[in-house]
Amino acid sequence: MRSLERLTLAHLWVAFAAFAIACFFGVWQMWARSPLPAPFVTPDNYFLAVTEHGVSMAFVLTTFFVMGFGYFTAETALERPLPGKTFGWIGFILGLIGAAMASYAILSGRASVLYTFYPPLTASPYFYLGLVLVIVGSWIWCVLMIVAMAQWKRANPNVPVPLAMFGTVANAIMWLWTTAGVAAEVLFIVLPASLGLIHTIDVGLTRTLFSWTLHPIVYFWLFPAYIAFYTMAPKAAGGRLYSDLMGRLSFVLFILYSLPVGFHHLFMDPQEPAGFKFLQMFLTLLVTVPTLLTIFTITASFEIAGRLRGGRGLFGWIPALPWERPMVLATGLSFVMLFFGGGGGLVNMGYGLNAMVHNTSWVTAHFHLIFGGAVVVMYFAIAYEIWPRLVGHEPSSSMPQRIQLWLWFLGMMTMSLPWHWLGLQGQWRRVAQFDYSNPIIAAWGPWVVVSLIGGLLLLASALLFVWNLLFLYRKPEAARLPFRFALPVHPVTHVPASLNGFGLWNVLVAFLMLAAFGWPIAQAFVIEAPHAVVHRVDRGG
Amino acid sequence: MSNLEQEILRHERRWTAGVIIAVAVILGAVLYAAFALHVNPPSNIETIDPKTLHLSAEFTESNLGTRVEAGGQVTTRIVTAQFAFNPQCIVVPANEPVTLRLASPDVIHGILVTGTNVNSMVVPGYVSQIRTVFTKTGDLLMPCHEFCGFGHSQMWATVRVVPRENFRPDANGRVACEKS
Amino acid sequence: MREADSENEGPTEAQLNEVMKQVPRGAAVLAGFAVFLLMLGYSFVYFVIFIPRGVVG
Repeated sequence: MRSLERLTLAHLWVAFAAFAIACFFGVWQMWARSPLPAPFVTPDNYFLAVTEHGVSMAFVLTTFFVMGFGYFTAETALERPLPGKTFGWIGFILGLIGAAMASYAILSGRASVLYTFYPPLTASPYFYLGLVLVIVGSWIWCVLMIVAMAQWKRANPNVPVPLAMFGTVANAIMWLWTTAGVAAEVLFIVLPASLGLIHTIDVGLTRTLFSWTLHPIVYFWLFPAYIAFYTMAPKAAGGRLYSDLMGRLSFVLFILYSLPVGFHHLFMDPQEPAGFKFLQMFLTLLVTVPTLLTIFTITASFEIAGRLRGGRGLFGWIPALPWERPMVLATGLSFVMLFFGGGGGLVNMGYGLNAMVHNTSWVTAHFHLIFGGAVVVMYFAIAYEIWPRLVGHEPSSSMPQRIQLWLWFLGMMTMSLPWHWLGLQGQWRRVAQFDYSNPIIAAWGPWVVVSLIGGLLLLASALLFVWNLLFLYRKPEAARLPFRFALPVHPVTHVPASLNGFGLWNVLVAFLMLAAFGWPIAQAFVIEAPHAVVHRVDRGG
Repeated sequence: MSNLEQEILRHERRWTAGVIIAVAVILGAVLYAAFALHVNPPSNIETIDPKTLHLSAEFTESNLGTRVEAGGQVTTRIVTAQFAFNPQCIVVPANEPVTLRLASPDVIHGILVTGTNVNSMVVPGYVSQIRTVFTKTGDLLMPCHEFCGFGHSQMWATVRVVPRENFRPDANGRVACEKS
Repeated sequence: MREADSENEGPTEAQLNEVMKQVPRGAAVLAGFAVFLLMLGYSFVYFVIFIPRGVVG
């Protein structure tokens, strides 16, 4: 096995192992919250589980998957060896040590602060240091992606960067901007508090810095799915990408508008000025645009494929598509979950409308559908698609892959849709046990059980996914064909410099971040809000 | 650029125009709700020292709960702390403006009131202020909806919305839930 | 799956051009309908659930 395959596989296996373990915890959490008697239900265990589930899914699965897929893309899309592979391994080791350190802190009950930290609740320093190491490892990945593209551009002047790599580097640049917020928060506030160097903190400032990271991080997770939409799905469907240009435009719009919008997580916070909540709400509306553009471009690409296969009439191309191919099926399922998850998101971001749903199960429904559903189903499809290149074998059948994808979709819909209803009834978040003797809460019971059933389907799907990767790929690969990405309708011979590089976008992002976050962060130093006392949770606090 | 490429771009442009219209409609709905219907999240940026909350003039124990102020305005003051609301039950009149003011002496909490748009974080260092009108009478649930530690699941309060004729303040203008 | 590769030696220019006469008619209708449903759902939540819950702030 060549070194690139090993580097990619190492990352993907860490990602999927964390994912599978987190699925077990997720099911137990839902069981604990339901009216059904569940084992080991104590608040300590519950919040340990929620922290583990959140950190594994939001930080480990995602970061390691993005990195592994990125290394793979850098070599296959640019058709040249990845530069600095040693540094890639260093980044991996750092991330692995960090993930292990954070896991140890969580599982030993010393870091039950959830993946969003909730200062002044303060966990063991190993928790924060562990996550710092994961982030530093990912920064190494960012640099390698940028270097790989820069070297390729020098060797290929005036040639458009292959779209898959353009998207990967867009993600890397966005990630560098994204992590600045949480890095500042951890370095200057949270870690000193955890180490006992400071005993009080400015909670408003801490939340503001965290919100800098909190929204763009979900686009960091989302990029691989969109890269697959544009550069893998049209090919799997047997067609062409409708517009390469729209892909590039969508990627840069994500960089621009995923960053200055964190306040839509803080609409209900009294310390943030209304004007800035408005501004960031408006910018959030703009970040819906690249998704709405994408759904049209990818649907048109699928229409090309379906019509090439003989589909006629307005919709005949839909059944004509090769739905037996995992990448095609996953894209379709992803778009359905994107509809519901995105719709829920439109309500969340609506400034005043947020009051109706903030911290209710509606929010839980939103991000499970959009991330756990629309994005993670594409992670599965990407893994299935690149696995033959990584392990040198073809799958003996695509049926287990399709069953796994359908199970994931059905489970996610069953689990998440009731949460919309429950959220509107007022069911709030992060509850270890509900008092089902209260008549208002009793009415929620049956739906909580429905969600639990969805969760069980998801667990089955997660286990089948791992099984597929381990045991399904047994057929010797026919020939070592180079991995190819989707072709656009017309060969891309020239793109404007602004859609072949990121100089302009970095400048615009700097301006937008200054406008959106400049005053809110400065405010903390101007008004000097009283500090809150650090509350340790690692000694039974 | 070939004819086909131009045609593709034309279709993409038309779709983009449609998208912008949809986005503008949503923006309009949000602005309408904010300005015409007065639905605005709490952004009062009012600081208060969490460490001396109990010694403050406003959030001292005896001043908590619902009180009709000098000018007739109904204000309810609540302290959210690990892991209980103080007071655990509040009385508010129906169909009258009510101002809720909350503060935390320790960690981040948050509240919602079931069936209403009342929702706010309570961040130590700041006072949260929400003005609303309760229209439906009855007992509403007001849980702490933000993770605040291991006792979070048991932290909730009752909002008792009573018709105007049953809302009887005492000599000091205060109204509390009847002890059952 | 790999069989797709030989298939993607793929459409001739003529086949592609023929198909492109119809595209993106179907996509525009499907995606447009999806966005319409989205707006409908949003309106329902806005008018039927959100507004009746009253003023706040």
